[in-house]
Amino acid sequence: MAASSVTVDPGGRRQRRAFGHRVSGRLLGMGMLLPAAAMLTVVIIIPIVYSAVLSTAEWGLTDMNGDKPFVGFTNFERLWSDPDIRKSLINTFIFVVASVGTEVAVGFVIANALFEVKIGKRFANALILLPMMTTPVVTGLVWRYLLDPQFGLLSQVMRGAGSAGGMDWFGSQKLALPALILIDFWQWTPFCVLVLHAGMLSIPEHLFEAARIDGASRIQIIKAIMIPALVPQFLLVLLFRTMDTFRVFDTVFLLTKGGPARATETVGFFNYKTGFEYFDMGYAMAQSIMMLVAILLFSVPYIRLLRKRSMI
Amino acid sequence: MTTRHKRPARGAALLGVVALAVAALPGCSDPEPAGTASTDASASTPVTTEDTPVAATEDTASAAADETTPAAETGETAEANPGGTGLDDPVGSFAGAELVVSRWAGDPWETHMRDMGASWGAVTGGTVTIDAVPYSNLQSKQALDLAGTGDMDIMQVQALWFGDFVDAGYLLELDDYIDDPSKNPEGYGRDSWIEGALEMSSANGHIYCLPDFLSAFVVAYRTDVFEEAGLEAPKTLDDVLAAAEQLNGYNGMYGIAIPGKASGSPFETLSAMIEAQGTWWFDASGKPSLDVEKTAKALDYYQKLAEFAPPGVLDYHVDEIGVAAQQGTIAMAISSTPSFFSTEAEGSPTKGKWAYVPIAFEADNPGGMITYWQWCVSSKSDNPDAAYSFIQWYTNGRQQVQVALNGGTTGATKDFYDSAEAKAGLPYFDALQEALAGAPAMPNLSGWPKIQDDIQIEIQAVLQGTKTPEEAAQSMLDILEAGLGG
Repeated sequence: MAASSVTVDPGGRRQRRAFGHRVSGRLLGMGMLLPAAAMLTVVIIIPIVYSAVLSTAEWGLTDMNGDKPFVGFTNFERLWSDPDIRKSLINTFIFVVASVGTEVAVGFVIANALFEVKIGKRFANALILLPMMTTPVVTGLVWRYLLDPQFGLLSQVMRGAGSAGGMDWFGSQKLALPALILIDFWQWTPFCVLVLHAGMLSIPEHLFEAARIDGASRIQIIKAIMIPALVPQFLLVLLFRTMDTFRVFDTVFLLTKGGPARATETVGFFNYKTGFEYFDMGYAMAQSIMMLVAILLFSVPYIRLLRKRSMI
Repeated sequence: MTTRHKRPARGAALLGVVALAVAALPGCSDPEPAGTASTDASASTPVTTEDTPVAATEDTASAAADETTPAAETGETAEANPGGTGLDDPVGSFAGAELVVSRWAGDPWETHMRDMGASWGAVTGGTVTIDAVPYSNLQSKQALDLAGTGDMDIMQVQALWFGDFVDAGYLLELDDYIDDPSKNPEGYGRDSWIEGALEMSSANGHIYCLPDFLSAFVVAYRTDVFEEAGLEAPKTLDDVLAAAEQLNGYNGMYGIAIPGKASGSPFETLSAMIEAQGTWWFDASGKPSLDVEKTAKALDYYQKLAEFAPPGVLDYHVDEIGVAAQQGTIAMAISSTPSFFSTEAEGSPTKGKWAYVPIAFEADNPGGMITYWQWCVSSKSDNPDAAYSFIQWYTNGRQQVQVALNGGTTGATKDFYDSAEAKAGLPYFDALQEALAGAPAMPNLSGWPKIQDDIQIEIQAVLQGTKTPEEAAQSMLDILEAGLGG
């Protein structure tokens, strides 16, 4: 039937039909993509482009309906000469490196312990996830009172142990940023545990069995099997936590307001102050664009590596 | 903006003369309803020194209260109640008018204002909806609303962003409203306000808002502790410093609590300290006028006092100081007057054990800065008359006494300062009056938030020991010159 139908197909009609199918198929595909593309354009591309345009204007929050004179790259030039933004960038860099580093390292250790433990695993899992479920406001309040140098639990314990007084966590230029890192660590290490533990559970059991038969130690199993197998999960955790910590705002806002003496002023908080306290929206937009570019720059390597691993 | 470099002579003698003058004026007794504290004008002193307070008499106020009938019930028009019947009454009828009031969230003030809104509505027929947000979000929320749809009719505006709102044209000019007898109670006008109050809420020659919530930073000390330790009441900062040193560690207490958190309070404390020496951040033309030497002296005292403060001084705002005072862990404190309200409230372990004096380098020359809020009408309001009626009523002495008794703040009209009830309810009333008399108001220049923020960073640098008082004082002058122009 097929051969005869080919023979009766005059003038390459079949080819035209196939071409027509391909075109209509493509059009159909594009048509089906259109709503998603339109949605992405409206909610992501247009706001970013609009922000970029507004970052080249000099305007305040009180001029929203007024003229916004074009000033070129003046707002971006200010970024280079502003010591406050420099200080906030340094604070942010310290915060990102210290928080993400400790969260991933300790998260791996806890995930590994959970992987090994046989009794009370479900309870431990639930308990570990609790901080992540807590709202930032509650987290801020809890830590505010835990670390209070006079009335805080920690200072009471220290006094009980013979110390003269509690440590001045949020009032010290040296301790305030570490205190915020500690809180971020407390709240977000569970996320690392969750992802890494799930990755561990997906490693085929026969690999561990083979290693054990060959007499591999626990450390050797971790180095030779677990870590290589968990690279995609590590990348995912690093990507998410780096982006999150770079934009940190809530705990800073709740606990220190960037103080004392700008010791905890991160880029995200400085950005908020510039826009909503100083009303300098053009400059705030330029800071936002800078943050976006910075996040993109350090996210690209992660994303490429994840693509190589076919994770995204 | 009131700017003063040489404080007018003040003291008990002058205050006494003023009090007697006020008491001798006709119609100056406190307009309190029957059953409350008796009127005693001679026991209180208005902040102003020369002006005549204008207040309804007890009789007229009571009569007005009796005669008041909800407009919604009577269907009266705005003309039905022209001029009101007494200072305590809302003026006008606004059946159907819906007012949205933007204010910071926090009790007892927020709840009390809701009640006051209901009371105003019962008389005028309008409704008041309170849109309360945390202080830290108030400025941005108002700015975004005013730049957009403008749903708010009345805004509680702080001096810090007043200038920016005026420049943007967001605020309705109130000059004609205040001067129009048909929109005010009988006898009410510009003279009803204490000296300089309306100037605080003015710009470019126009009144934009009505102020209230006046407060100042004062020194509080534990009378029982001072007595036990054989100390005299502190009169100057030298006395305060000596007492802080002596009492630090006494019965496990810290010598003094002072604010250090960059939340506005360190700036306000330092402002009082420099003002007590006759210098100020800028002059009448808005140009920097700070005396570096005097500022360094103030910072030096600030730093020395911090040595006897509880740990965490850079994390201490007025709230933390209030708690420490209440818990009895400090012998003295420098803080805003409302922060001591809970200290003196029922249930506080240290209630009645505190006395208050203004901040001073010399006993007869106290310093202060008027910290205040103000009620402004949006230029986009659909109900400007109703909005004015509400803020006029809310800021008058009778209502402000109720606010004071509920929240510890003070009003800005003369009749408030005649109130024996307010005086009896606020233990720091006298110290506050001394601190406020002739004091400059908190700066309300456009662009000031950034300047104030940077000044507070310098104060913190001194408290941390990373800058000397001299270096920080010079930096402050540089900040002012950069922000305001040399």
